[in-house]
Amino acid sequence: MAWSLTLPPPSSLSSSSSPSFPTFHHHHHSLFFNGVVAFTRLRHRRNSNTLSHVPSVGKEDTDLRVSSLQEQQLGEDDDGDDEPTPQDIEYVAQIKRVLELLRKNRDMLFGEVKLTIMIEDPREVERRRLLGIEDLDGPTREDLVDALDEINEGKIPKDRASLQMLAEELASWPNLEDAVPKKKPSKSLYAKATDTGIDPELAAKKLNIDWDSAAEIEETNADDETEVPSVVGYGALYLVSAFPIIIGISVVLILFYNSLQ
Amino acid sequence: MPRSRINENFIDKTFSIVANILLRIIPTTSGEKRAFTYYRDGMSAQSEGNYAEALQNYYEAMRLEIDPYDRSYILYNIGLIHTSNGEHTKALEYYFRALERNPFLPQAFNNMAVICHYRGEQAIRQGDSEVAESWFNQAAEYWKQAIALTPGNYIEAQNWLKITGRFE
Repeated sequence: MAWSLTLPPPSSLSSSSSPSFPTFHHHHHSLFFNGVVAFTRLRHRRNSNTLSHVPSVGKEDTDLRVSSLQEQQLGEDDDGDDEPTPQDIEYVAQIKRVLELLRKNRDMLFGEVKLTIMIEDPREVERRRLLGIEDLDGPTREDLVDALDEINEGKIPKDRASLQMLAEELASWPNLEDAVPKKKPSKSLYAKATDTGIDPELAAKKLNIDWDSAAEIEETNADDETEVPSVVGYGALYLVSAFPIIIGISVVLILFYNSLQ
Repeated sequence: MPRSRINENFIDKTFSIVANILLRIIPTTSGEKRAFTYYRDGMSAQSEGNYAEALQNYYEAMRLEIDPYDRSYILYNIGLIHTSNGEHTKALEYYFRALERNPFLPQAFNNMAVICHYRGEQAIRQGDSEVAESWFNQAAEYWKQAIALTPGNYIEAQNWLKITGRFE
């Protein structure tokens, strides 16, 4: 009779506990996993949001900054290149006017002006070479020549310091309004003072023959029409030519006499 | 003190006095007189080897001299200075311009020929025979022009031209 009490069999207990345990485990696992996932997702979401936003914001800022800098640089370049200042235009006009005056009044070619501007103190060149530095105080002569070349080509130099210095130098060119007078090359003081490998008189004769053929013809005609006796004409010529020789000999003799004392 | 008063020897003193006399005799403008004074001082400095002072004087002379024929002599002397300093490219530029205004400067032609000949020798040392040939041909042309102006001078150049078959 005692065995008449009913108890659940072990198998039923196992089956009953088994679902609960797995369920709990499952829930736990799922909760944990879900939590991890959620956390991960949240973290990921947050991270992704942060990473996506922060770089985005920074990038946008950087891009904006770069863009603004580029725009500023482009603006500066555009201003420098495409829009010369009125002062620059005035300098260029001034330089061109001086070049025109030199050409007109002195028959001074552009190449001569350029070579004049190019004249540089060799001591400064040597100093820069030895020290290995560039002169930061101002433009060099080469810079001025480059600016002059650009103006001659119809451009406006970008180097404003060179342009200004060049304009000032040309503006200070002396006696711009003086025109070259007509005179014979044989009377050149420079020819008499310089040894160029040829007799100045011979050079003058060649110059007259080669450079003044029309005058030679005219002189021939004049000689034909002249009625003055040749003795008088040549005598006067010899007399005038003798004066410098006499003066020269006298000076030499006087100096020699003084040096003996 | 003006440079003209620094000269003490007989020849320089004579030259200065003669130049002054000529300066007074020959009719010139005040600017041209100043230009020649600068030129004369430049030549004096150049003869003493003071190239910096010489160039400064020549610069002023170039700005003051209004006659293109006279400017040729200034350019020629500046070319001489650059030749002495070994600045051959600059020297050639100044010689070219000097000859442009005054083609009767045989010494300028001679100096240009010497520079071209030197560059030809340099090209040979570098193993570039074609470039050397071009430089020598150019030197020959310049020497021919110098000899044409003064047939009795530049004997060595004439010999070189004959030896190398470039005389004609």
